[in-house]
Amino acid sequence: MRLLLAFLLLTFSLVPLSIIFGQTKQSLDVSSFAIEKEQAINQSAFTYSRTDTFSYDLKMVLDAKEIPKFYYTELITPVCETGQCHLVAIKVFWDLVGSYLRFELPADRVLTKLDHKHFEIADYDKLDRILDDPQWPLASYPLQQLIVDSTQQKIDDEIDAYTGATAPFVRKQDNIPGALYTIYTLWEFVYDEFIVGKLYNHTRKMIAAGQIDMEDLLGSKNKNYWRWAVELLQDATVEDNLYPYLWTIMRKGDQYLCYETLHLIEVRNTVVLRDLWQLFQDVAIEKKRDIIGKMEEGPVDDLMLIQMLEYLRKADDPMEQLILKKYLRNKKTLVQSGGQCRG
Amino acid sequence: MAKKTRRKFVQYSALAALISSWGFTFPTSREGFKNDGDRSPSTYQFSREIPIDDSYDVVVAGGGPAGSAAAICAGRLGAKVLLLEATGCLGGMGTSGLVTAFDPMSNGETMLVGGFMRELVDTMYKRGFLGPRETPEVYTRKYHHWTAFQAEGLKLLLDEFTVEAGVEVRFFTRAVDADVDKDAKRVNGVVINNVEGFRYIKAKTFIDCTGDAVFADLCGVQCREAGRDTPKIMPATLPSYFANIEWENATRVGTEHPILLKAIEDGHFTHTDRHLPGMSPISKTMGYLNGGHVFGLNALRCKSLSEGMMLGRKIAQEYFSFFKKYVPGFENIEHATTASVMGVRESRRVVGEYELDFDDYISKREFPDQIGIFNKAVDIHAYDDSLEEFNRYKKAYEDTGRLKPGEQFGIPYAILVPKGWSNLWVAGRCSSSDVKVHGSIRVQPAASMMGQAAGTAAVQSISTGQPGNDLNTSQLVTTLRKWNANLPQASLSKEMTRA
Repeated sequence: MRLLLAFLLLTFSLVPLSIIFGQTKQSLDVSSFAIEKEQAINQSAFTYSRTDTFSYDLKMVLDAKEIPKFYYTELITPVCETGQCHLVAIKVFWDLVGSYLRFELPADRVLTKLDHKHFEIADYDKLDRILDDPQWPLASYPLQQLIVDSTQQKIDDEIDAYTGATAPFVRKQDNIPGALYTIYTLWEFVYDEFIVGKLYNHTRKMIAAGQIDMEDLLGSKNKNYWRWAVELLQDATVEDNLYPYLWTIMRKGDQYLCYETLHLIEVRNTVVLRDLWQLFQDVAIEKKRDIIGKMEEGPVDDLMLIQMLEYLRKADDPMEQLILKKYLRNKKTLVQSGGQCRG
Repeated sequence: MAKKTRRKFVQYSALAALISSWGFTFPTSREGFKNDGDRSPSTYQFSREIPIDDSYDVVVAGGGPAGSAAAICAGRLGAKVLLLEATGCLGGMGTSGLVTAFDPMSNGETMLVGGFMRELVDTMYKRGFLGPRETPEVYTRKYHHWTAFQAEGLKLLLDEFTVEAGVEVRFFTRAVDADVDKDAKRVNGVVINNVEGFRYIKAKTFIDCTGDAVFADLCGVQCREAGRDTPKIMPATLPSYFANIEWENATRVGTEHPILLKAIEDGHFTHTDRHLPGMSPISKTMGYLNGGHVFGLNALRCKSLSEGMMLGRKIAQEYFSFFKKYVPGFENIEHATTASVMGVRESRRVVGEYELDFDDYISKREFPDQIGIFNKAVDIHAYDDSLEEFNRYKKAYEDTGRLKPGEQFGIPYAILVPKGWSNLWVAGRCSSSDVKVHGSIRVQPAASMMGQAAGTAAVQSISTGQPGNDLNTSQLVTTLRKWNANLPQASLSKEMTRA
């Protein structure tokens, strides 16, 4: 049994991190992080200078058909443990709108903790989860408040780096004991507003130049791309071929994305109105007020009003009742006053 | 309006401010009334016949975050509601007070604040009324995060929500007296004053959301006053709006920032105030400044409040020139306005059926009758501008008064009920807590949750006949949950928490 366990651990530890963190294939979605020279075209996006000492090339990776897939950079940053400093080398990957995807270590490199203990597989997994959290709770503290009884170590004129025992309020799930400085430094890099902004703008230029297709963004599984595409469409004409994507996004996206997407819908006839009514019935309460608001723009549809009354009789949620009653009251007033064309 | 007449006898503080403005003197014999040596101990007897107005299910005094929530939620439940507001807009501190940032609503893992407040902030985001850096991912998840917003957006939304809920709003209207059955501890009616003069209004239930417990005090509810029942009063702030800020190049200057300390050293400010909550972006070029403490202000004394407003405007000018002269990104700023009401942090708290205390807070107590959960740090600002006091504040804020990420404490229903009163609730800053917990729950999101609970409780009381101080809190929590309040307590109880 012990031999089997040891074999499994050894096998797992040899699996490349790119497979551990792999994702499924879609047109714009990332299918593999392996950057094989014959398949990928590394297009240098720009150079980012953090200090006079360190600068990084941020690169966009395209596939063989020259469709942009993701960005990455190879980061080298100093980390000091008690009495000793060394450099950490790591590759960080972002999607096309600057959201963190994953990290990868160069061959033969590992991350270490206090006392030079190597990260274990679980530590790498936790680091990935922390870096994937834009609201990592410890980021709201200055590093000095997170570390107590520290040994300060000066590395150069630019950066003071130190590690030590963590403050008592730091929770296990937010930290890898002995590696807080490493995590903190990497998290700040991943969410650096300057970098993320640059990536975002670079992709935006590519869309404007027609190098990224709007349908690919809307059809992606990446909800960040949905949000972005919907935002870009606010100032554009929405063609009919995009409507099916928009209905999917309103169903599967969150209430905020649904609200933004509703702006793109033109309630030009009862068909669209009835689609909205169906959507109303399918989604969570947070979206319903906005959908009803959109339906107010449409024509009056007698059949749908009857359905709504029937639905209202069975509705259990008080907020749902409230907004339905308001809609029906407004429509009744409109019909009575003859204030709108009947659909 | 029923044209009946009714003799109303009012004495003591009920019309103190009004009478004072007419040049009459009024009694000053209340215990603990300080700094009143120059006032005459004589009494003026005020009596007059006033019209009786319409009657209501619920009268809410004060249209701030608690009062708006109370009125709208009661209206949505079908009650006939009257909302009295002393200024010309709803929102209170968030609009007239220009405190245009909601205090932390998440514990770093999840959004704690649900119900009406969540609906409000989500709608503000969708409508573009939050600051340019605010997103749901941030305000629903980020630990210790203040959510900046635009005052005008909040005004508009609250107008819309009150109209939609069928709430009758009367602006520029104050509650100036209470008709009370003192033995039964029951309120029968309220005397209001506005441009039409005095009116008497009868209602089944009353909710005090004045922030200063003005109406509860008129009713004779036992209250604790800052400065009378406590050694000191937390300072107030008169916030400002500034325009023409280059946010992209702006340096964030806050508490103890070297630039601030340099200006203090240069003698730029009247006060050596190291605590600066800071400037927050509310639009691409505008910012809201929560800065400049007015120390020693007593919000329950009109003279002190008036002098404080003048001092607050003077201090605001000092911060204006400070940002312009010292802080990168603010070279071209313009001072748009100061708030029209003082940002009071502490004045009066009622003595409720339960007083939420620091032990409850720090032990993260969960109550069966809790009507909200919260995480905000105990935030008791320095009482003066001395270095010693600042260090006291800083140590207390950082070391003892801050719940960790993932943690929360409960706000029980019982702190909304003045002890023994059956049809009166108090929600918001003046609810029943000790000074420390007050330093956490005195803010807008907590006030809104309390308001929603008070409005819902009032309607439940009317429909079931249950008195407020013996309300079935299991039923209340169930109703609040239906309206999307985030109340995760595992067990419910028909009885409220009592001391």
